[in-house]
Amino acid sequence: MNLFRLLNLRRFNEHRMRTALSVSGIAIGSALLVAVLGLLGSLTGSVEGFIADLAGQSDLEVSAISNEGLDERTFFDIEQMPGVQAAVPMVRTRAVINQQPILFLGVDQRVEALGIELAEGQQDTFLRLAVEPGILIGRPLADRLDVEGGDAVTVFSTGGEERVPVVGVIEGEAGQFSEGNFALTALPLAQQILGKGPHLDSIFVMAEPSANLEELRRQLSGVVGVDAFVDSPSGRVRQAQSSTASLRFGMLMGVSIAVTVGAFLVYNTMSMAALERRRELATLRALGGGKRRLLVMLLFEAAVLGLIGSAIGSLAGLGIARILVTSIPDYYATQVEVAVRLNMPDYAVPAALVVGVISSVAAAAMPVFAAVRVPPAHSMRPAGVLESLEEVDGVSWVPTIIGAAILFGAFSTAVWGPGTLSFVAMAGLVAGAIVITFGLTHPLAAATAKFASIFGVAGRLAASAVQRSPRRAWATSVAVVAGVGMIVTQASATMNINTSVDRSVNTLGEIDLYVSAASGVSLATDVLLPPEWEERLESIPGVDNVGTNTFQFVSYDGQRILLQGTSNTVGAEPAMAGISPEQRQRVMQGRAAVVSTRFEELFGVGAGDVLALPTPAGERTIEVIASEPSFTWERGLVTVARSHLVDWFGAEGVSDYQLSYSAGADRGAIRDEVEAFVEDSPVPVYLSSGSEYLGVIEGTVKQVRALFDSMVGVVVGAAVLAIVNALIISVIERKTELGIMRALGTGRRQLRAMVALESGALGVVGGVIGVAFGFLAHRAAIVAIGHQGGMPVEYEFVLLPAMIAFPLGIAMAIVGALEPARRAGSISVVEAIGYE
Amino acid sequence: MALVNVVDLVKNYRLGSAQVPALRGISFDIEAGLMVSIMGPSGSGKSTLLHLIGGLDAPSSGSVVIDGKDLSRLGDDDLTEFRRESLGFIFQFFNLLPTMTAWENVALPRLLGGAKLKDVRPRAVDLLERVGLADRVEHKPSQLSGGEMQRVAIARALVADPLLVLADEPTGNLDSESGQAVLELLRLLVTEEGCTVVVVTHDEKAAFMGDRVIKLKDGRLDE
Repeated sequence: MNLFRLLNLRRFNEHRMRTALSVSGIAIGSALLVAVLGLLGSLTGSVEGFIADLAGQSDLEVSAISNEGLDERTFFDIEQMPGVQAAVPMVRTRAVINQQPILFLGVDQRVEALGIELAEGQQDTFLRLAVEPGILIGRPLADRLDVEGGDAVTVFSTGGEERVPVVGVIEGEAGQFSEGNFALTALPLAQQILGKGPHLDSIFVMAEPSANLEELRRQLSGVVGVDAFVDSPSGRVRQAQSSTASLRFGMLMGVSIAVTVGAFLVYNTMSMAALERRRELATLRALGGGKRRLLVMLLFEAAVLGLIGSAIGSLAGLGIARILVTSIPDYYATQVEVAVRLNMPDYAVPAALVVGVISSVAAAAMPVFAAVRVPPAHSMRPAGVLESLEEVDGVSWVPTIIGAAILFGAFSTAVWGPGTLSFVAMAGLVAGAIVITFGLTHPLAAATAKFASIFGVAGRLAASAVQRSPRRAWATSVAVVAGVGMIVTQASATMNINTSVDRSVNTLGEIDLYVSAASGVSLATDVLLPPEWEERLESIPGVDNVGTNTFQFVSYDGQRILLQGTSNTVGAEPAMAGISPEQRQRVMQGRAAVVSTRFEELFGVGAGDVLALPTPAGERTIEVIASEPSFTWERGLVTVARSHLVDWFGAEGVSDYQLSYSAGADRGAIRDEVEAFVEDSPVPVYLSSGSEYLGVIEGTVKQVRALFDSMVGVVVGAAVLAIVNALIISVIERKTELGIMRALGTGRRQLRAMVALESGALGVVGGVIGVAFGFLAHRAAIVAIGHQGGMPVEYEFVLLPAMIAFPLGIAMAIVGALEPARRAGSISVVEAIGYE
Repeated sequence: MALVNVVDLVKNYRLGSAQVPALRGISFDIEAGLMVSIMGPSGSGKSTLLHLIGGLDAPSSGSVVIDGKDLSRLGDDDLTEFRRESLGFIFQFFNLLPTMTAWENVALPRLLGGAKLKDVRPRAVDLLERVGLADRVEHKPSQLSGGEMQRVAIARALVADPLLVLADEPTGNLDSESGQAVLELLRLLVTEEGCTVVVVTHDEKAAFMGDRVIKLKDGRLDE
């Protein structure tokens, strides 16, 4: 510890900039890791928190397959089953009170068995609710609505509109459930208000302590049949995770790459530092320092750098996570169906610290092992001759073959492997590129030198520097490879996504006016618009056609999918736009269904197959006539006639009306009339033209893109740091040599030009490799996105990102060289030559 | 019995595919309590010889025996310990660690052996006083002159009470006045402390301050 304090800690202090550069890579990776874990933890944690608040101590949840609910007689069967200690019936659905979307819950006194905050000490209230019909609301909602106990509110739901008295306000922690946006009432009243009849949405089951849960789950599934599915309450968390798979994949991919680049930065710093400290280490060896002691000391130094970097990064990550959570694209917030608030997992910061330390030590291991093998006799060498000409002997086959194997393995895993490994595979591609270029160090240095020597005297000096130290050249060019590669990958993938999204949704712009129960991003599935509006909207002069769509979540094969019922539409929806008018007619006549490509991927049901759909009315079969790309829902979409939703699921309401105008119609007048018509609607109504609707979707795509672009920005920033790092150390390391060159008559400007040219030439070579790597990674990323997010993105080769990234890579290298070049130019000859 | 026995020492270096002989089979003994100078022109093999005597490099054949220990028979760990406990090094370029103060540099060999800083400090300060640097104890190398740095290096070489002090061109990087002072200090170590010192130099004046001069030419003794 004494030695560590004297040698290493003081070194940190004396070389603050270098230390800062060393820790910055790890700090960047750790910041991203904490931020992303915070973001993903918030998405699932919010769902977990909601489920814990609602499901309490229950072991299993029986959920109805649709909004229709399951027959409450099933509850009595379940309650009597052996192995069931207690069962709690519940109605839970979305409703609106005074335009405020809420969760409407119907329970009875059995809810106390769940041990949830919401039910604690409410026995008297439940008894009161039994004799005094009304609802209880949370304090936050009461404040927002400006109502108190004794007032009455209008509840709008699938059951229609009903005036209901508020019998009390739930204060304290219990009132904060679901951000306070809830209403609670007695089960029979909830069934009546929501128009559920004798149906339930959920039955929470607490098992006997001795019961076998898996066995009980099977028995429950047998009892409920196709009307419901049985899962642990945490099943909804899994569903939330699967809903946000594309976000998780993209974020973790970015983190993996950033950590890899960060670790490379440490490797780079430690390699250069080891070279620079060769004389010091040789002296320590000569004075009796054992290899093991020096090894431990240097690895400990790397660990401390990793710890400092990851601690700083974690702090920054906590702040970034806060910003990210507030900017979660609405698309994903809709998918998890609860309000998302910051929920930093307990393991996030420790994980970042561990990853930071381990990656730092792992990255430092190779240069450190090499450094402690320095012959002690090197301590006798005069300063300034330590950097010797490395023998240029072509390709190093071992790393080249290992790198090629990693690259091939990573590419294969990304393209053909399990989706869960996609993000690891993308980081593997980066690691493979680093290793393969390591093997090709000498040919790359030779190529760089050849290129640099075109540029006069300064170019020839730069060429000499590159050839004399190919490893440094490699370190700099790899930073460019990472930056350029990431830009090409990200920009190309984004262009493909944009093209695919445009192709998929551009027909939505053909509709003249949308009248929806939700914004373009979220979907109305619970609180719907009245079906009788169709007739009224059709009667507006100038309206030529009114199409309707109803969306409903249903369970299919244990997964929650989206069911779309459509009638009289003109085929603007992505699901209907790609099929022929005849096929469209067949769908709307109820004779066929269209599934999304994601649905086909997940469940293996596509065109020509017969889809067997469990419904409250029993299993219904329908022929699938097409499988169409759709961005609507990550877990799959099935489109059928709206009449089927009414008949099979009792879903009378309408999610959105699509109005098409007659030629020459007064668009403004129609919109005014619609606005006036919906003004008194008890539920929020969103009006948007086709282009406005498209704008909302594009806005969502932009939100998602902004998240990923920021990731690329971080990686590019880390790459620039790596370049600055490599070049600054190279200037320090060559201080004597540069001083001699100055003494021999090399001008300051020439030295500056030499460093800039060296970096620029490495930028060119790194840029070429980066572009090639980017093409490969782009191909893999598109397949991986398809695996993960279910986004039907078509791969198309695009050249534009490469044309931008290549010069950007060179610029990155030259910008990275500015400070080192300035330092080289300002070297004092006397000081440099006498440098000890 | 001699403190150092050099027996038929050969050292060849590989340069590409060619073998370049640096020492071509030399033998001599060094008695304890003497200051011995190894002298010769550039390329004569004197630095190589010092590396081999100091256990910094391994001979191609032959042996170096110090105090009865054949260095070529010691493993890396034992050799490292031997250097730390029994040898003291003085380098041409001082090789002081820039982050450490003068006394910390002096203490370094003991610290490498696992000693605690506070336990070594009195000895290090004492040695600095003996080499005339009592007022430079807390100075860092960058705050010292060349002569002062070399005196710190001498104190460092003595901190472990070594059997043998090896000095590689100790005056090569100093002005003549400082060089003379350093040589006198080394001489004093021999006469007053009974140390054994081997000095490699190409400076005749320095060489003849020793009790004995071993001349090398083209890797052979030139006596």
